[in-house]
Amino acid sequence: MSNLILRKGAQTVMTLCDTGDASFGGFYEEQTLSAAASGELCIRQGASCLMGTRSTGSQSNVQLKRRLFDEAVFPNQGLCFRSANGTRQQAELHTPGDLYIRRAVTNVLTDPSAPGSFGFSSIVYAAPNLSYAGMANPYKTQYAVFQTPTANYATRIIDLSDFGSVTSVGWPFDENAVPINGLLRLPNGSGPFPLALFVHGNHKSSENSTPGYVYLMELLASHGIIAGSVDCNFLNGWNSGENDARAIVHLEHVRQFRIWNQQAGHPLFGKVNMEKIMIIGHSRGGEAVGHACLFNTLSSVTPDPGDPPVPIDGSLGLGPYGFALNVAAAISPTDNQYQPVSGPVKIGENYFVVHGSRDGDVSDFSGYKTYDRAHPVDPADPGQSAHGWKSLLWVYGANHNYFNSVWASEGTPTITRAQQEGVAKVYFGALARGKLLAQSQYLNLIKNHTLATNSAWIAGITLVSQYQDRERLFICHYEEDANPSTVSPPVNGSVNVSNVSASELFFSNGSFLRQETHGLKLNWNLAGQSYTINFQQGGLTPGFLQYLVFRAGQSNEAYNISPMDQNFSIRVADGNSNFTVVANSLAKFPYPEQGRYNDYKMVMQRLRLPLQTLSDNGIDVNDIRSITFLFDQPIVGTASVQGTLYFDEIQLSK
Amino acid sequence: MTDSKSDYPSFEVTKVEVVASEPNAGELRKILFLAPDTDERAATTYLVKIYLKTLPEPAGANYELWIGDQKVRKYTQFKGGIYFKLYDIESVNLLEGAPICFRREGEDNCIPLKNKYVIHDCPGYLKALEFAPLRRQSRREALDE
Repeated sequence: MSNLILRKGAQTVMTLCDTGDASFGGFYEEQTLSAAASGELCIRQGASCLMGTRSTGSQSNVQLKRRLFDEAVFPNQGLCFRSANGTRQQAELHTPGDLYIRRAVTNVLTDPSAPGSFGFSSIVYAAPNLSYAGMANPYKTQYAVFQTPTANYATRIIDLSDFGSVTSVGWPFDENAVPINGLLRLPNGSGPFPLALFVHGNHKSSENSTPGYVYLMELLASHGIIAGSVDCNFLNGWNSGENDARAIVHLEHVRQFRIWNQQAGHPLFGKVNMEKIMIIGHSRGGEAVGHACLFNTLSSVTPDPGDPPVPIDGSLGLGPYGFALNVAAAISPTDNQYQPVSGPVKIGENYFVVHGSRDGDVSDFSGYKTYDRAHPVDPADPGQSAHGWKSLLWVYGANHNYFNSVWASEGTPTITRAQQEGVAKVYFGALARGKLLAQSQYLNLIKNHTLATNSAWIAGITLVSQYQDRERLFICHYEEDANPSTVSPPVNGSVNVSNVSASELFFSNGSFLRQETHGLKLNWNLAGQSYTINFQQGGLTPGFLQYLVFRAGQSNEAYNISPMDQNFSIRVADGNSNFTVVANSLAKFPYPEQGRYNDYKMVMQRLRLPLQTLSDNGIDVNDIRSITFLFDQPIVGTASVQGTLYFDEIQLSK
Repeated sequence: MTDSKSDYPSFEVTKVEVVASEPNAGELRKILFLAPDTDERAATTYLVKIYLKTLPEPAGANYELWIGDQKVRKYTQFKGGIYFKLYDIESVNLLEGAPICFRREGEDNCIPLKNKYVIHDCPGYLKALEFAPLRRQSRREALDE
């Protein structure tokens, strides 16, 4: 063994193995390095530190000025790390501050659903002098918890009347004076701690929905994250179009933590890391996180057409916001029930959405549309990076309500409540540790769900997931026209569809297609049929991008066979040779599960093929001449070579 | 909760009523924005109350309310059903003869009401036409609280 080891004193900071894999003494943190701290390891170019360490106790984390690229094809423009005998390049620190490694980060990650080492306290925060005693039961008992906030955690009321109305069920307040109430789990210690705030969705107002996320809050708090759950029950009931109000409530709760963080003498003074915030919403609250992302950037909001602009700059008691929302996450969200005057919301933050195939409430997977609209390609500048990443998780068998631990089942899930909560814990644990605690390895989970299934953190549940990085170059996004042969500029190429049934369509048919995207439909019934994208020499330039990525999914149409996985091959050629890989070896393409209403939805699975794999198999990835979807594989478990698959967003990606 | 997606909840409108109410702070800002010459002391929010025999259990999915060919962007629950707001008597008058329709979100067809209902079936509405402006009630009074 001749591993390359970077040390700070006696500590191993990073190991570059002969295999090309890398492991870190702690975690790697992307885009966190501004200046080298005294006594820390620092690799500089001139005055600029590109890579360094930050020590916490006995652990040194690697901080990168920019990003880490694994499975990397090296740009050969920076500091090269070679194996001890000098024959093989293992890593490269690129001059802008990106770190490239030849294979993968192999740190052993622990189950993100496992609790951490922090103790925490339980806190109730609420507006002062609230009394629900005048309400009938069960309201009186359900909301009594907010009558006695923890000492020092009395909050305030806000005027929500420009945005919505409280349901008229006898609340001890009206929309002019809604309370900032919530439940909190606060880690022990001096902090500052990141902040994660959950909000429920619409439900019968006679049941307090707020405690339903305590199981997630306690997980996050045990890892050193302040985790809260927002009371928005006063908007629950037969309310419609009120999701702008839910968004304002969510942002005002974030603001409450900023107030406390700045309030000398308060227990949270200086204890909240306001640069590390995640907002999470369920159902209508999930839609509202998108509106919150929009409102977070504004100084005034026009709630509905014809309305006066409502200042959210503090002049009317709402705002200002402008928070550092690191992640907006949606659990089984609705979509566009409230439409901003600027049109359906396009989320510009890092966005994660999870939804169950057996959802009996938001049964049409509305959040898929939100996902499709997030981080869209700009036709005027298609090569531009997006503002963030987006990720989607489709959980076979999960329903709508079990993500909230107090909501009874609304239908017939095919997994248990414990399993469903387990999925939520794994994913929100990973998201929080990856983005809020800068333990970037955990973000690999949202790029690749097999990290969870292979480790048995999630067992016995079929998952479909998508991930789109903010660094991507579309080869075909199918948004320019209705022609399945169009290659997306600036990529220069053409498509051969001569021997397969190919059509481009908008993925919305009121039945199994429920999206807001154009894409490609391919049918085949003979082995050897194919769809090929050809490139001119230099027509496809990977640059620093490391993966060939696309999303593809089965429908329940006749060429597919229930409940079998679909399969095909991917063939990539340069000017001299080609390499073929079986798709099923990289990602599964399962048959859709029957939904709550005996319906089916086509949800695409992402496939990521490392360019390094192509390079290792003799392909010049800087001179790719064609990419072919070759239909030569039988449906898994059968002898039939036939099928219908939907494809979209063929791209090179980080 | 229904057993089949085609099994819609049973919407039965039993009464429609328009009541005048003192505006809250946000509503007053809207009224003064739309009609800057309004006397604040007489400013009125018109609540169009649609009484429903039963209200299914609320959930994430939404039922859109349409009055004629206009989607009501916001409506809210009160004890007897749902209501939406208008900010001038002319807008109330425009409801004349318009049918009430509920739609599942994203669908184009109305859910069949147990009884056909149009706004001119509403005594309160006629009262609004004849005696506008109506006596302004407090919000709690207007919502039968």
